[in-house]
Formats: sequence, structure tokens, C-alpha cells
Amino acid sequence: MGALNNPAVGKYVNEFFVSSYQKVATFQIVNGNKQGGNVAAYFCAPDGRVLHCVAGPVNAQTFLREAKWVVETAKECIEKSKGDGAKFKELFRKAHSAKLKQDFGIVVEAITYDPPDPMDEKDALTYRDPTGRPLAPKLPPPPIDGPDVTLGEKKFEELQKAAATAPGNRIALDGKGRKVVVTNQSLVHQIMAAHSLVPIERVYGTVFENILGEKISTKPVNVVQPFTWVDKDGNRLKPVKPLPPGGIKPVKPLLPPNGPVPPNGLAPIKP
Amino acid sequence: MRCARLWGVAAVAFLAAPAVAAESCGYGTKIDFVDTPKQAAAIAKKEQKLVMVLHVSGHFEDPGLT
Repeated sequence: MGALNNPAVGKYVNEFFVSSYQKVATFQIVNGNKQGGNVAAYFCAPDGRVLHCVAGPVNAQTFLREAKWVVETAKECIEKSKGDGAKFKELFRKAHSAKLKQDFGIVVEAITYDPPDPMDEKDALTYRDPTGRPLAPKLPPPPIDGPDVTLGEKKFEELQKAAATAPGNRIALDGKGRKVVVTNQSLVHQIMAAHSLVPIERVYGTVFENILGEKISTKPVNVVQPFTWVDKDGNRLKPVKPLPPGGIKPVKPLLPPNGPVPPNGLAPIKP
Repeated sequence: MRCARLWGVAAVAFLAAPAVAAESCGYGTKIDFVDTPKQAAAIAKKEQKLVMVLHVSGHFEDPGLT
């Protein structure tokens, strides 16, 4: 337990957030076998609209930095928006765009208009989970305009080298077809520059599938415990032993068999 | 109008930060988790805080992960 077990992270998160968890059924196919396991932390407004997200495993320092950024940015945007919800959304998306430019040297224009949702929940062609509910849509990220020209080539290269060692690093193409190194966290800012302040049920699919690269098989469900290998107090649970390769050996009967049953069946018991 | 009121409430959240609600567990972490996001949202609204929802998939026992 790294980031969430850090005392500074715990203190800060407990001070400014009320935390909960859900189970998301995902899987990856590796060599023909189903594998799965990942995590995403969503920082939301009390009505469930996502302000920011930490996708995948990160260290305590990164987690704390992102949590503090949400709180500070929300404070700033609340102050500037003066109670206007639409203005708050616009400012928050622009803040994500600015953060992406500052931390990764990547320029993305914040999208402040939400077009009507093309996916109709009642459409017969909409893919649904086994409970009949449609899965979360895959929200398109805003296109990358390119590197921040104010940085200079050397500084941008430094940021790209740092990104190449970060979790989830991969190559993406900008608007002009140039290669740019993106990471899990830069992709979060890119998506949030267009989709922050959107309900969590519309965002989680994009985070798990487009950023973490895992397929989702059902909507998130509430579970008794988030971490299956520890109990509520954090005590490690014993793993269930796998079956031996040959299967379970037959148990010898305690009593000798009475012989075959006659073709006419068993004789009735005489009183 | 409703939105404005909501953010007005949220604004106060950053000024006052009382202790987390009862009946929360850490599961071996330093974070206090309540049972459901719905419950977390209700408490957050009442205590004027934000909500953190952890989405966990599979068995990801990696010391660097959580």
C-alpha cells in the first residue's frame, strides 16, 4: 500500500474529501487469459461531477500533488466564477489545459461547450451490461495542437524525456502528425480539458478503456471491501490455495462397498 | 441558480474541514472510506467537502499502487 498508506496523503484527503470506493469489472486478454487489476481515483463535487482523476498506480508524492491541485484550483475557480456554474466549468477545463501545458509542454484547447449526447439510452443498438444498463460512453479527447512554443526546444525535450519514464507513457500524434510522448496523467488532463464537471458514470469508461487500456464488462458496483486481500482493519487475508494440476484426488471410502445394486432395484426394508 | 447555490456551499467546504463521519474504514490505508459513493456524497454535502471515489478493478496487489 503506497500512496493511500502515506500519512500525509491520508491527512490531506480526510481533511478535504469524503472517500468511498466501487468495483469496476475490467479485464485484459494476455496470452489468451483474462487478466485484470487497476485503480483510478476520482475527485468529484458532492453531486458526483468529476473535477479531476488520478489514473492508475502513482506514488504518494504524485497523489498528494494532484489532490492539492484539485482543492486549490476549485478554490480559485469558485472565487473567479462568483457562483456561476457554467463559468466554473469553463474555468476548470481551462485550468486542466493550462496544467497540461505547464507540466507536459503539450497544448490542448479546452472545450467549454457540451454537445448533446449522441448515445440514446433507449436505443436497441446501444451495448448494455448484463443488468440491461448501457455502458459509459467513450468520450473523445480534444486534439493535441502541438508542443508549447513558448518553452523552447530544449525545455520541451526535457519534459518529453521525463514523460517517457512516467507510468503509462506512449506515443500520440498531434494535429500536424508529430509524435508526442503522453502519460496516464497527461491524458487525464487532456480528457478533463473537455470533459471535467461531467458525471462520474460518463467518465469512468473513458479512463479505464482509453487511458488504462482495460476493457469494461459491467458498470461499477458497490462492494463490501475494495481491496480483496486485506480485511477492514488492513490485516492480510490468506490466499485461497489453487487446485493441484491433477485435480483433487478421490477420497477413500471409510466403509467397504456393499456390491452392485441388483437390476430390479433395492428390496424394500421389511418392518 | 441551483448550481450557483451548490458552489456556494462547496466554497465553504474549503474554509471549514471537520472530522470525517463515523463508520468509516481504512482497509489498511490512511484514508477513511465510507461504504458507498452515495453515502460519501451525502456526507460531503453536509460537511461541505469534496468526494473522492476509488474505482478498483481486479486483484491488483502491487505495493506501489494503492
